[in-house]
Amino acid sequence: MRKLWTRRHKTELDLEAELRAHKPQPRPDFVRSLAARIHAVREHGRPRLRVALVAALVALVALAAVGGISYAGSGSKSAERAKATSTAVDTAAPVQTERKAATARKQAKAKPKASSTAASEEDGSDKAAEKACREEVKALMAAEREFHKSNAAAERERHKAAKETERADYQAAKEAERARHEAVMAEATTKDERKAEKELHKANMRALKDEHKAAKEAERELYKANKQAEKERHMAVMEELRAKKKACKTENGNGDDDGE
Amino acid sequence: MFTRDPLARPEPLIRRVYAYAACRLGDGPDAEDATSETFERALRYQKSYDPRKGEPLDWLIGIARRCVDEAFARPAPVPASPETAAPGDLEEEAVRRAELRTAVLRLEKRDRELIALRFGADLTARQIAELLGVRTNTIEVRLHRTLTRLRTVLERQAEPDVRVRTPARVLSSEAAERRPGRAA
Repeated sequence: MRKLWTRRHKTELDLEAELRAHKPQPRPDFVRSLAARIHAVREHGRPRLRVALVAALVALVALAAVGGISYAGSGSKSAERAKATSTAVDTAAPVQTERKAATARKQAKAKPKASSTAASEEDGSDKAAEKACREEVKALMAAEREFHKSNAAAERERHKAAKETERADYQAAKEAERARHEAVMAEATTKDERKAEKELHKANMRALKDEHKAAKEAERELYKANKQAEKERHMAVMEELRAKKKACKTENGNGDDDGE
Repeated sequence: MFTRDPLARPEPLIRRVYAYAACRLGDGPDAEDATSETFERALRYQKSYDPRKGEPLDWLIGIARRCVDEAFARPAPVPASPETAAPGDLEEEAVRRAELRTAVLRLEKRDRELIALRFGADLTARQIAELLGVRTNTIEVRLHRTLTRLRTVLERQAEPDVRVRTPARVLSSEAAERRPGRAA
C-alpha cells in the first residue's frame, strides 16, 4: 500500500515538475516591447510628481523669503529689499502703489507737522515694506488654499476609485464562489456531499461578505485619516502664514522704534 | 498617500502573467493580447493597488483573470487549417510540451484555471485561495484532483488511436461552446 502511495506521489511530483518545466514562455521581443511601453507610460506620468515637488519647493522658498523679509524689515535696507521682492512676486503692483500712497497721506495727516522730512521718508519706506510683506503672505495663503483644495479633490478621487475596485473585486469573488459551488454540486453524488458543500458555500459567502465589509471599513478609515492629515497640514501652514503676517506688522513697527 | 510602485520591474511579471494566460487560452497571440490588456489596465488603475492586500503579482493575476474571461467571451478565431501534432516530426521534448499543453486545454475551465494559477503564474495554494475566496485546504484538494484528471487525459492521449488536438482547435471549440447558437 505504502509502495503504491509512494509511486503515486512520485508520479504526481513528476507531473508537477513537468508542468513547471514546460511552462509557456512569451516571446522575448514581446516581453521587451511590453516592458518598454510600461516604462514609457510610467516615465510620462512622473512629471506630475516633479511639478508637485517643484511647487512645494517654491512654496518653501517663498515662506523662507517671507521670514527673511520680516527680519530685514527692521534694518535700514528693508524698503529696498521689500520693493524688489514685491516687484518679483506681486502682480497687483499698481493697486498696491495707490493704496500705499493713500496710507502715506493718511499717516501724514495724523502725524504732527513738526516731524522732519528724513524721518517721514524712513517711516514711509517701512510702511511700504510692511505692506509688501503682507501682500506676499496673502498671495501665499491663496496658493495654499488652492493646494489644499486640489489635495482634497485628489484624495476624494482615490477614495472613489478604491471603493469601486473593492466592489468589483467582491462581485468577481462572489461569482467565482458561485461557479465553484455549482460545479461541485453538479459533481456531488451523495446527500452528505451536497450538504457539506452547501455549508462550505454558505461559509465562504459569509467570509467574503465579512472581508468586503472589513475592506470597506479600512478604506473609510484610510480616507478619514488622509482627510484629517491634510486638514491638519493645511491648518498648520495657514497658522504659520498668519503668524508671518502678524510678524510683518510687528517687525516693521519695531523698525520704527529702532529708527527713532 | 504614497503606495509602492507595483510595476517598477515589469519583465518577470509579464512572463508570469503570460504563462497564466497561455495556460488558459493557449500559447500565441490570444495570450499576448490578454497579457497586454492586463498591463494596460494595471497602468490605468495603478492607484488602486494596495500593498496591504498582497503582492503586485496577485493584483495583476486578478486583472488577468478578468481579461482572459473577456477573451473567452469574444468570438473565437477560426483556424486556417485543422492542425494536429505530428509526434514523429518533432523532438521528444517538444512533443511532450505540446502533449502537456493540449492536455491542459482539454481540462474543464475550472481545472485549467487552477493549473494556470499554480503552474503558470506560480502562485502558492494560499495565494490562489485568497484570490478565489476559498480555503487553502480546498485548493490543495482541488489541485490534487486536477492533477489526477490531467494524468488521465495524458494517458488517453498516449493511446495510439487518439488524435492529439492542438490548442487552437481546442480553444475554438470551447469558445463556440460558450456562445449559444453557434456550432463548434
